[in-house]
Amino acid sequence: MSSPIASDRLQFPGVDLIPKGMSRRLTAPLRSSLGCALAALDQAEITVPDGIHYGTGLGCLTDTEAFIREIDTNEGGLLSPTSFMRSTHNTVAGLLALALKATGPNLTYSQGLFSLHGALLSARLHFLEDQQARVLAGASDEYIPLLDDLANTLLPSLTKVVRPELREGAGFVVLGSVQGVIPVRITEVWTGSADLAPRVMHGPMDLVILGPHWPKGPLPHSPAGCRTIHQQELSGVHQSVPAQSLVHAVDLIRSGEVSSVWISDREQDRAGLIHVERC
Amino acid sequence: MTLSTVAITGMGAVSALGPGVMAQLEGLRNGRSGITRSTVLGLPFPELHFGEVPLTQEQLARSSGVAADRSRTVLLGLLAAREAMEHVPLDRPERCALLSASTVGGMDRTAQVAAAWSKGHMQEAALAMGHPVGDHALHLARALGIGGHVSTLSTACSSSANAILLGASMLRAGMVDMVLAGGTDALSTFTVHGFRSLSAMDPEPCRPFSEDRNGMNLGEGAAYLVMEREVDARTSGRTPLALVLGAANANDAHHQTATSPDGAGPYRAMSLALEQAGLAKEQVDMINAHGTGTGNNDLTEQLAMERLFGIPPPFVSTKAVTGHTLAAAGALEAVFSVLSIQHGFVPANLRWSNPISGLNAAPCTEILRITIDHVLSTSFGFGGNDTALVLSKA
Repeated sequence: MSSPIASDRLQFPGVDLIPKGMSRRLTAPLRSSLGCALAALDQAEITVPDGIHYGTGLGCLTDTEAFIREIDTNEGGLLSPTSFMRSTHNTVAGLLALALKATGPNLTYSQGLFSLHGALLSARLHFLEDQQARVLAGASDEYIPLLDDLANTLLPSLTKVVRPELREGAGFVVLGSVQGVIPVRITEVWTGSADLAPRVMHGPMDLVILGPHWPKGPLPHSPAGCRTIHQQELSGVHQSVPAQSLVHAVDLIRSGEVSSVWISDREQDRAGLIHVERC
Repeated sequence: MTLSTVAITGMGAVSALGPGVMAQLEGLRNGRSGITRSTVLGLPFPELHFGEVPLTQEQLARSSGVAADRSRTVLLGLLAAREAMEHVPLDRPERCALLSASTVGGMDRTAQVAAAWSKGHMQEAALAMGHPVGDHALHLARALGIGGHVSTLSTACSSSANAILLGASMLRAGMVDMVLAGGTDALSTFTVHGFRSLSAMDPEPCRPFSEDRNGMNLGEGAAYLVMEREVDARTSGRTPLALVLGAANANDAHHQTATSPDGAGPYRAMSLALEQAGLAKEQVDMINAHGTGTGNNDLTEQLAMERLFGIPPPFVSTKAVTGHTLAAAGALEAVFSVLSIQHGFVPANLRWSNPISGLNAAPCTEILRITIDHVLSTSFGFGGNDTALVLSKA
């Protein structure tokens, strides 16, 4: 797995694994997302995954904004198509398939904070239909300054000190139905109405990683002795924080700090849960 | 019927042919085209042709039961989704998933102000809340009372075909008991400029699979299908409209927007879908093709069909009727495929004149009345994303 925590693009792993011809033509955030995914595959010693299951809340914002600017400055003329081609939400997944010559299933989900959950469910279905498969699953989201401008306009009563910092990030894991070198498994991926979430969270719980929008403090119904981490204090706020939470959870389990982690995300009246545990 | 057979028990649709499944059937059976110059939305480049839904924003809002300032993507989606669910009771909302699809999302609204935002003029900033492609799915889920998993697929032009694929998988796995699967996309200035920048648009009404084809016409629309395990549907007294016997997704891994010269990805998707359905190629009675009308797609798609079938069964692109509805195309064409099965006809591939140079077959240029048991429906998107569905008589 691979997950850069900071939004400093120079620190994103795996950028040197991107084919040079492709890398030159990508925006910095696309390079970062691809590099992160390729680093995870490199770590798993997999050249070509059997499937790619990807999530993104807002897609390729940099290219989308670039094309909108192009429309504005050159309306009526023939525009350069590059930014438009890369504005589709499945650009990262498509570029990965290109770079790796991966011809297997390739699905992209975009459902806000629950985009990763769609990708993980999709990966699980892949295993049910091909038990030998090893797949790449993950999510990434970009930051552009316009997001801060919109947040400042829509939430004028909050200053940056109070409002969590908007950032960007990515997190990818390589999954198989048979235990590999990392003795961690995902046992639950769920989304639904927020009022049903407490019924889904059960069993051992050493740690709960809470996503953006949760108030400070532990989860109300978490058992005594269960730690709480607010991932946004590490990652900032973006729609792929759950992916970074997942990688963080795997890291902590591998280190022996914890054995059972719930990742809890909430957006309006909906919730998403992921359970990760030591094998 | 096996425990894992997936049935379609409800459908809803809206396109350039008008609102409702009956409007789609009437248009297809009469060889009508919904392709016109922009009359409803005032889109740029007045010389271009589009598949506009012939309803104003206000009319759509009244039909959908929501405010007219919502994204057109939401309004189209609500109209089609409500029709699909109209006669299907939602007994256990938490066991029903919504798998939707969109590429435009709220861009039909935000594209009008985003350039100003980028310059620091933040008028109508609240429109940003409806911008994400997944936002429409939340509106649909709330309006219909769906309490289970909600997800939006966004794989460009194969998106809603993938929603149907995913729904079938989830049902077979027992993860859910019911799925509302489909997609919605509105016409937007962003996509008009985008496809024009690719020189992919025919200024005239498109001519899929014709040697003189000159590009696509953009369209808009929405379509949703209710899916259940066949055994559950019949136990509950619901007669399936059709079955989803097979579905497969493969990646062409050749280019961001163009298909490989030998159509490898489309060939692979079609082959895998037939394999999952347990069908020999001779059992396919009809192909509802992707057939955008572009030089690259139609050539490579027909190459793949001829490679797989030798002589393909009757095939048609209904994009000559509706335009290319992007994320909605897969589901809309799945609805058309079910109508073909139910009513025993292959729609006409409009405006075809000559076979593609070097290829042998011709699409079905007149309405063909035959018994149809199995339809292969294909959808291919940017990023080499290729999906094929096998829809069959129940």
